[in-house]
Amino acid sequence: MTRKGLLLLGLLLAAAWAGSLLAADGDVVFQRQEGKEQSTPPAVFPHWSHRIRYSCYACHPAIFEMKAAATATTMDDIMAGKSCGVCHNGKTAWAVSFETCTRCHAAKQ
Amino acid sequence: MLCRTRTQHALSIAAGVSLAAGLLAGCSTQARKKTLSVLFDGVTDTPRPPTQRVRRDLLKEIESLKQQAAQAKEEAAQAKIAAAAKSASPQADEKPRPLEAAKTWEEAAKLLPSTEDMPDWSKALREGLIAPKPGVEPQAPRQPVMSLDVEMVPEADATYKVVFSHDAHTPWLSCGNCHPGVFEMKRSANAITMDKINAGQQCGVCHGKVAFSADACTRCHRGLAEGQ
Repeated sequence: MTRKGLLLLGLLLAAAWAGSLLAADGDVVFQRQEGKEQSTPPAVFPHWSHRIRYSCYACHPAIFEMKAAATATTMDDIMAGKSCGVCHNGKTAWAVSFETCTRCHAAKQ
Repeated sequence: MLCRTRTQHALSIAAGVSLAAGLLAGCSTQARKKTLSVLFDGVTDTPRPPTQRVRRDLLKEIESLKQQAAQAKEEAAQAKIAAAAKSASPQADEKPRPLEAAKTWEEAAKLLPSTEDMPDWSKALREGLIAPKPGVEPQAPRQPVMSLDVEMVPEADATYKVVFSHDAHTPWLSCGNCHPGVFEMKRSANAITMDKINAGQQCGVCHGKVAFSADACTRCHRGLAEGQ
């Protein structure tokens, strides 16, 4: 293996290590729908931040199935007050807008 | 005789007319006090029948009283809702907890207690570091915590006995979250194995994802901790 290859491998490993540090138990990384533009990173749902505030049964299974990303989540649903929009409406929690995209769409690989 | 009678007639008619006029004048509402007080003590002014203007004022007053009553009723109803919300979640109006202010997982992880190098969410709940709400609505009912221990002793080795505590799980989860989808609601109907847990079934539906993983042996197999 060349020196360049080793350096690249090292960088990759470092990135993976940093990623594992950032990710928390129970983070759900959504997959973007096929056929939709893929330039926006997939959304990450931080379980830790939500369970500090709500019991599991506040959301499961009425709003979300109890299986990671099993319930399709779309921006249209959120805007219509369903899915994440049950809370993320500017009243219970911060509203979904062009100012808040990256609070969810900042996927850590 | 006839003439005299005529004069008398005329006089008596005049007297009658003037008496009637006097009575009418004296009994009219406006003159009543003036006339009667000449003859009697303690004559009071009788209330005038409401003119159109007075009636309008009265109607306005009634309207404003009605509005005040409606407002008071609404305020009472709102106070009742607020009181109900307060009793449902006593911590609702307390200042935010440090964990609720954490912006990143790194910040939160520092504030959370840990057991066997994993976040101990149950301990955080017991110590009041977090107070998860039962629902989005302020009146959302909190599910009562159930104190039922289920003892599971493997036939092969009793050291690996597990006591499942409903008490530790029901502050988070409702019955329907686990029963009957993940576990049949009959003690002997669920053969629990570590292989299934590690494959993300049974306890592994949550443990290893949002709760401590199977690597934390002694948190379930207490006998192992005592044996050390």
